[in-house]
Amino acid sequence: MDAASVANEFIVLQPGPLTTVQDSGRPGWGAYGVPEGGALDRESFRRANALVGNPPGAPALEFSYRGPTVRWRGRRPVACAVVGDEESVRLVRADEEMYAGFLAGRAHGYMAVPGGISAERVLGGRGTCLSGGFGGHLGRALVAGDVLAIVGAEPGGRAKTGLSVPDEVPAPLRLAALPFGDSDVAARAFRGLTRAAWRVETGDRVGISLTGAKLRLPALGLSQPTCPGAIQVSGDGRPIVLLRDHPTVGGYPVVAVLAQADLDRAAWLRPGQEVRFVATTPDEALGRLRSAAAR
Amino acid sequence: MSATVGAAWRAVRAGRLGGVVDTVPGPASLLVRFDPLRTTAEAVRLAVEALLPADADPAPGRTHTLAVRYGGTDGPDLDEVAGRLGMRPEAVIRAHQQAHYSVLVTGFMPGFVYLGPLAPSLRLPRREYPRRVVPAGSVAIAEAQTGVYGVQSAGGWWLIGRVEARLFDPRANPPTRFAIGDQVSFQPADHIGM
Repeated sequence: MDAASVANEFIVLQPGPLTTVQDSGRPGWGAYGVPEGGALDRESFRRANALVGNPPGAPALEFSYRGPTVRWRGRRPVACAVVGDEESVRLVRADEEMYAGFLAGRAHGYMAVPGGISAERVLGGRGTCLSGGFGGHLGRALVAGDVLAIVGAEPGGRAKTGLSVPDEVPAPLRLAALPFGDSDVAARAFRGLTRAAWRVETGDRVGISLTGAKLRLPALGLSQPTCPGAIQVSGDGRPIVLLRDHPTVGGYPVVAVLAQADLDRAAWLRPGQEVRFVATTPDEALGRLRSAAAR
Repeated sequence: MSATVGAAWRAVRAGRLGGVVDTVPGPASLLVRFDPLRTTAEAVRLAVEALLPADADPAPGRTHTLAVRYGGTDGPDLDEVAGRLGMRPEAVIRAHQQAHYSVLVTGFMPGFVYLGPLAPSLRLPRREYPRRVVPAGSVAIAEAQTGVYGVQSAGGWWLIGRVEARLFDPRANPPTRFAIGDQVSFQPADHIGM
């Protein structure tokens, strides 16, 4: 047998509460109800891939709150990067376990290996679409016993092993938002959004719901298309920040849209965390996006 | 309205504008998402306006006929719906399949098809407790709409039947044959010889 035919795979021993294969998303299918999806925190996802020498969009594991435990089945050691509260790269030998651990400061982390996790391209993306049950690994979150094939793993990778610590998540986390709608009522609701101190109640890949004040916006007569970063106001006046697995149309009115440069940061939020919204302008939001892209 | 949005959506999509990453129609509006690093809001606005069809009375989209198995395990709420409406289940089926519906929007979740208007005699508020699992293909009603679930999901509408046809296939392009502005009618499955 040549080296290429040796199994290069991970066995999932413990999946964590929600672990999925993700990439950089599949925009373009909103008209059919398919959200953009992909890694919620694109910056951390890219860093995980970069640490093992992958191109930026190689499929990796995204985990929520607690990382998976996997066993490596390959002839040679493999470099495995984890980006969460910390960034680390470890060389995992045959039959050794890799454990990503619990996240304390943010909601999502990433585990990447050289070459990426094998996943079929569906509708232009390799990530898991949970609402549609397709993409990634069998269209669902990982369960114990799953076997993940690694694409032509260049065993060992080009990575140097080591550990570094990214910036801590500040409290409160400040997110820049653009007002949506041009009525007086919308302007008042937007001021309410930027003045109140908010706390995260619940969050998942679809969105984050906040408590802290009640915003008033009249209900929509008809639902409207939505996008990642849209901040809806639920029937009881609470804001919901939509993330990348958002429903493609929604019946709740929209009070604001996050600056695109802050979409990754919104995905850091965990229940109990404090959030403030800061008013921004399209020019300022674009400037921040340009400097983020230049990094 | 949905025919107008549908025509606008088809025109903008066919225009393949540079920097536009997605176009998403809603019941009364069209979202055009663009990458601000590749184009500007003003350039997109001008390009979209130039593409919008001048026709005030756009042609309807395609026509679909779906075979439905009403009631039983396929439509577990049919009897309760009939009871709440003070009708016999057969009369609910007749009223539901006699009407012609427009696709108001596809979406919220993959492959869900919103249809309307529903006959006034069939209108009920949503179920008080949503189901955790609604099978793919379920035909449901709520308020002034009827709809078909493209994939298995949770849902709060009343389930009156199920279609056999696979409505959402992520490996097909496009993944569903239904588009905003299309026309849909239902027939009891046994009438089509399934």
